[in-house]
Amino acid sequence: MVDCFIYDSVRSPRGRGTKEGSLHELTTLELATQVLAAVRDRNNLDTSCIDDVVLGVAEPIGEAGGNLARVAVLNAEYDQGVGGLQISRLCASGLEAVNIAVAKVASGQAEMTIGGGAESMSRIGMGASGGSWSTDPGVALKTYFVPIGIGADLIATLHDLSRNRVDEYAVESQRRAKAAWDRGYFDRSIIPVNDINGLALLDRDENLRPDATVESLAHLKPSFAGMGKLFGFDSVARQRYPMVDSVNHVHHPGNSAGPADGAAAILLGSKAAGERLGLHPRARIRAFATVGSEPCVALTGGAPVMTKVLRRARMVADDVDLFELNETFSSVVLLVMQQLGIGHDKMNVNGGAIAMGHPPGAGGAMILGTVLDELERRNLGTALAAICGGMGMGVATIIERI
Amino acid sequence: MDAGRLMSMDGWGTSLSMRNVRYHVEDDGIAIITWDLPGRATNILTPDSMDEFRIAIENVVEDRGVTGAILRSCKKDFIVGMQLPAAGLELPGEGIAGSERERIQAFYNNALEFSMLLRRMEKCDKPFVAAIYGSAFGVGLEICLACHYRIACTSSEACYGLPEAGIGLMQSGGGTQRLPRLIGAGAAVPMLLYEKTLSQQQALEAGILDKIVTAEELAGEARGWILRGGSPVQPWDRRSFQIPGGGPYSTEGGRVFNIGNAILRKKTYGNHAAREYIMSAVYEGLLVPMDQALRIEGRYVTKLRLNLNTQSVIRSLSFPRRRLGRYRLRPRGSQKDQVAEGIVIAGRVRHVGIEDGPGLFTWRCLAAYVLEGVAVLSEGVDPALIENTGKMTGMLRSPLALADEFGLDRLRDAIEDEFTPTSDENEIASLRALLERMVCEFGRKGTLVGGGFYDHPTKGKPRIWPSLVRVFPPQREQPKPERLKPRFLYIQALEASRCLEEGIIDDVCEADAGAIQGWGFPSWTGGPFSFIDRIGSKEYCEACENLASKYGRRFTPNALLRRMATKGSSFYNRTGSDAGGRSSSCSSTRDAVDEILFTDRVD
Repeated sequence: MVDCFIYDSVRSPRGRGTKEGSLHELTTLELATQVLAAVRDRNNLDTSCIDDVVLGVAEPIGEAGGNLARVAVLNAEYDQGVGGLQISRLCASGLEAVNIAVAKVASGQAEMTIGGGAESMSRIGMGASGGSWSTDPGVALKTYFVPIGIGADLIATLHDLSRNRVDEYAVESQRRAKAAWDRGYFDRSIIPVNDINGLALLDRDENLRPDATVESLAHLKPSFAGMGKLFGFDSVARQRYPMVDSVNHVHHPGNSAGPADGAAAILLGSKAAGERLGLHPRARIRAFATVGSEPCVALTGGAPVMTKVLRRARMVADDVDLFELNETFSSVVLLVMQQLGIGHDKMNVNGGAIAMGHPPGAGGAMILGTVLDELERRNLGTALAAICGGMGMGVATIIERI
Repeated sequence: MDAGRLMSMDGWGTSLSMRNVRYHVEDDGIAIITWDLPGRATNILTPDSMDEFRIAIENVVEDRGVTGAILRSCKKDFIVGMQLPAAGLELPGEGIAGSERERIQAFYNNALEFSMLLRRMEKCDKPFVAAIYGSAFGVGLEICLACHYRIACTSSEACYGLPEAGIGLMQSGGGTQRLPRLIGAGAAVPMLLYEKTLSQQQALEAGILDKIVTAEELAGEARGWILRGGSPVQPWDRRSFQIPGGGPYSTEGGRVFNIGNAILRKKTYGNHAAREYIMSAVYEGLLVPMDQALRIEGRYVTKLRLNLNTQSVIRSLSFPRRRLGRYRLRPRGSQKDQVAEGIVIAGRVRHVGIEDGPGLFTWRCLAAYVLEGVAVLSEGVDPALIENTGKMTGMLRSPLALADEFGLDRLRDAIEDEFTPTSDENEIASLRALLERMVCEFGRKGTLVGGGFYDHPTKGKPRIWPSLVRVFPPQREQPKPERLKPRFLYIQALEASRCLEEGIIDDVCEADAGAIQGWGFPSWTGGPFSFIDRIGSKEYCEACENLASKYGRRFTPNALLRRMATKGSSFYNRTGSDAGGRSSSCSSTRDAVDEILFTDRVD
């Protein structure tokens, strides 16, 4: 195995993933193009040294379809010899894309790669690319398909996470994100997203609601109660988890990741390649892993994948200085902290997707960059970033500073 | 605006006395907005008429007594365009203080101003009817498109179009967004990019017009539609709206772009910023709701205005064609068919003899280009590469094809006298030898006699003479187009500046326009003199000297250019080249040239 290093990490601010969001005007291609251009320009990169660019796109259709990665490579005017690979592991696409890009270097089959992702939830909504899981009766019935929010509520139900508890977590996420922004903790990775004339469309995450309190969140209606009851999904969930009497619908827009528009890119490479280009490595990739878990509840892949990646790195949770687990829903993170005994002081220390939103194709790469910035700021050694995706999948990566 | 409001509160009889746009409200609550610019044959958008139009619209929006509005014109036509200064002819940055970013932001805000006014009109929940008498062009048609109902008065002559791209501009009043939403992207692109105009009947069938009535019926029909409860909601503001023919990622809509992008390059060789921006604005705009779409249009309008060449392009392309007779390659034998006037030598030169004659501006510059092509051929460059590169510079025709039109024998005879005063014997000899072989050895004199560099079959398209590569075998190493392009353009602009120095021409503005409209010099440059200005006289001279050292003394800069380089001067007055600059910077060209050439000589 060749050691693979992170040389740089950039991300766009996350735009609100609605038609009113600041990045709605911008094509997915342009989002991806701007982060690739930033990686090149910040590092004075001769792009002919890049072997491949792997981008996560959870909903690869329309303008985001075909092979967005290769189109973005060309649109960003990278050397034409650079490849492009687009992958989808649903919500976990961004981190998976980084891991694949790492694997290419670690296997010795590439010198420099870029992993990242792009998603415009405001333009291409979740589910836009179709898929048979929810539609083909054969598989939907057999595997107890329910929408992912029902799964999150099911986690809360199964693990006794009250509405108050999940709302408290959400409020803390907002507080931390605001503090981090105010203190400039994200500055190193953030690049403003510009229009064609260089005017900034967005230079700061747009979803933040720092004035949220547990009281104010208490007024929000649960998002999935209606569909759970009316469309039969609660019953499907109960049949899969017969110990449940009724699903406790605790999640709402205030304690789940808002849909977002954004892109991220992480520059990876071997030691030799970095030296040749005069780049300084920021961290080494220690290990990465993927798991599948029970698809109906869908979001319980966190603990298994983190355990798996720790084992692969011959570490235990206590060896890790900072954890970053994507805040798809409050219950997802609370469950993992409970299962692995991780304190909130080490988990998502600068807030997460509940406050800042989640662009599925890019989110995983964003949290990896965020936790790296924070390791450096605190002068700590090791971090683990993980993300749960649809259908029960989980992805994780461990990095350590040089 | 305040004045406008005060007057409208004046009870009923609410009418505003404005100079260009009249406003008054009828007893039935319908406002009549009449465009009638004083002392002009046509209505156009000017800063004043725009202000007054805004006041009128704001009155409709705010006056509760007004139930709807009819837009009309008192001229032979509706509204036929905009005054160019409002289109952004001022130099980027002029009059705007602050940082680069603030400057761009100011441009962007300015670009959106009129568009947002129209948006307010179509979203104010009161029906607007365009009662269109005569033709509507450019911003005039854009105003109609923002109305909820469009009625025209029967006319066999009236036509409708958005021809901005023809003078290097793009639509800025929402035309790139409303037209494709109304008639489909496939039908809109030829109008937006390629100046296609529609007759009244075509406009009706396409859906641009809702109805055609007689002149007598026009007012009644407009009023009737409002009184019958005509909807003040545009199709694209309805939830159920679908783009006719589908969006860019539908099967049908996709074809518009997949094929349209190729056609765009075929037509422009990547040299037409306005058309490219329009195409992008249509594509990106159709993927988002109207409000964002209009912003996208505004961003491209801004980008076009910030493009340093745009100003020269507009100046030259909007130059009145009738004043450019002397730059045209006249149709053989007939004076009357001066219609070849169109910018269309491209398609026509085949049927056109070049009779401006040796020694004249057009002949000399074009000959310089053609002979440069021959020179490149003599160096062992593949003829296909020469021809393609010629077109890629933005020239309407490629050099060897034009050589055939000139006649290779004629070119051979003209080399010495007319073309290369600074050339040395070797350059001339090698060119003459090549042409000599073509004419004498192979009997190929050009288009009219047996073909030249091309075969000219009676049926089908001319094609490069297959034996050409055998007679003049290409070198193994071929140059990149980027190395050839400057040679083709610099030699022409250099010849143009020699003509200016020698007094063959004396108005750079006219000459720039003539170069583009007459012999097909690349429109993206704004003309040969604008081209030199953009590069800078000093840099241009250095580049020429560099070319001279590599390819021959024909590239040696003339005295005028060298003097200008020393003084750092330019052909166009830098500060005065906004719209008014046409006269201020051009009328004195002769004097300015003389001054550059002859002052300081004594010391």
